Amino acid sequence: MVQLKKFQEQTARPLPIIVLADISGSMSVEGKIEALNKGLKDMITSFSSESRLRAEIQVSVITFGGSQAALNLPLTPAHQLQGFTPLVAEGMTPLGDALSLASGMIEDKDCIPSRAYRPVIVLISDGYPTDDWQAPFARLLNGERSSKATRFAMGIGADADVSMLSDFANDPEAPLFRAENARDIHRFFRAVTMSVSARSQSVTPNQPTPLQITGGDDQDWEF
Amino acid sequence: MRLLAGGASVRGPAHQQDGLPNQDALCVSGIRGGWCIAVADGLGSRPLSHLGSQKAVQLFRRLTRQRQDWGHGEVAQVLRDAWLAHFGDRYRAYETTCLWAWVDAAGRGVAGQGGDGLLLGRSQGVFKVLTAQRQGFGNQTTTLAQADLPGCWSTELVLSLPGDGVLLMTDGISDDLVAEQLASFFDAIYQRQLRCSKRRMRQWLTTELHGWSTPCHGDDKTIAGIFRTD
Repeated sequence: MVQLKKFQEQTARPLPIIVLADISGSMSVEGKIEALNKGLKDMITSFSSESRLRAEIQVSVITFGGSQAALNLPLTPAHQLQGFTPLVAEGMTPLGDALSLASGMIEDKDCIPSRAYRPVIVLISDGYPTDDWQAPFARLLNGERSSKATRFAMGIGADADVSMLSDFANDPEAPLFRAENARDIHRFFRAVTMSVSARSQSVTPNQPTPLQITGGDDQDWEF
Repeated sequence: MRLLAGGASVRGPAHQQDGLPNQDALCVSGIRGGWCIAVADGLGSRPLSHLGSQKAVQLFRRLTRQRQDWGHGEVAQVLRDAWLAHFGDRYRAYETTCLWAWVDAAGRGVAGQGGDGLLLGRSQGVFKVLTAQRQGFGNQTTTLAQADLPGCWSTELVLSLPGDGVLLMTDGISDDLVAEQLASFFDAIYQRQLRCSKRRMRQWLTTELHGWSTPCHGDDKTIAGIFRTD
């Protein structure tokens, strides 16, 4: 009989993924918000069906639209998620607010314990921030814990703040991904899903797995 | 005064599944009436880290045998230099952590670590977590080769009372221990050591590590301890 069990944690080590999703008014056109919703829904569905071999994937969604950011989905084990309520696009682009929420989450050891694997932050935006975002941006990139996160970024359309998003992404093998249409958004989410899933099943879940954006052969993702 | 030591190392489920070797290493050796113990955790991302971890514990044992005394401030540097000298320019393929302790027949010694893992101690009846709290996330490892960094340190040990001791473990164990239960965990190992030979202690620890209960655990697991029993 195992006698040391009472000293052992009875939850798997978390692998947190935090999505910062732009839901400003401009996302409501050209099918962008619909593509974002489908991408998020498919990603969560895929995570929830993972066999969770080496880590427990936990998902959080922070939205920025309207007049302030919101914690749409607190960090939750993916296998406990029952569904995903579609996001509605409206208002401004308060990115700084969203970055502050993400920083607070990552620096909080009660929210993400030290035994967790390195978090993944995914930033998706189609425009320029409308609040004071520079200081929260620097805090997230340089925070004691948040600086260790893997960061992916996707700019949607021609009006995205490419410079800011490029500075955000820190995976040398996956610089800013630029989406021109709904299919590209789907491809990005699929690549993020595959990267995180690969990490969750890896012998070394802390090793970043590069994004591998597949070719545009998804015929069901036409505008 | 009586000193007992024990330890065990098991290959984790992830390495069993992938047919990879145990990348941890262990030594428990009697030296001049005292004991030297070391555990090491080869970096999963390095192809030959299982050899690097084995070499680290072997070098600690050899260096301890060669010396009559260790100044605790020199251990990390001496061990690091010896390890780097062995692997030379190819050392990155072999990178490993290392935790070590040596206690002489009088109950005095040194303990320290380079990289991840946990070092627990009880001296003069007072339990202490000797490893500083980690600021980052799991498996973000500094290594023995970086022994001049703040994550690498050593301290003197004085085992003056029965129940005093030192316990070393790799992060395959320490990351899954309940933080509030570390003193009780230390005591449970000590109580078992009291009634076990070195061989039976290894068997018991091996069974315990193979029966690890944390969901999804995958790491190799290695633990070693020295205890004063009277």
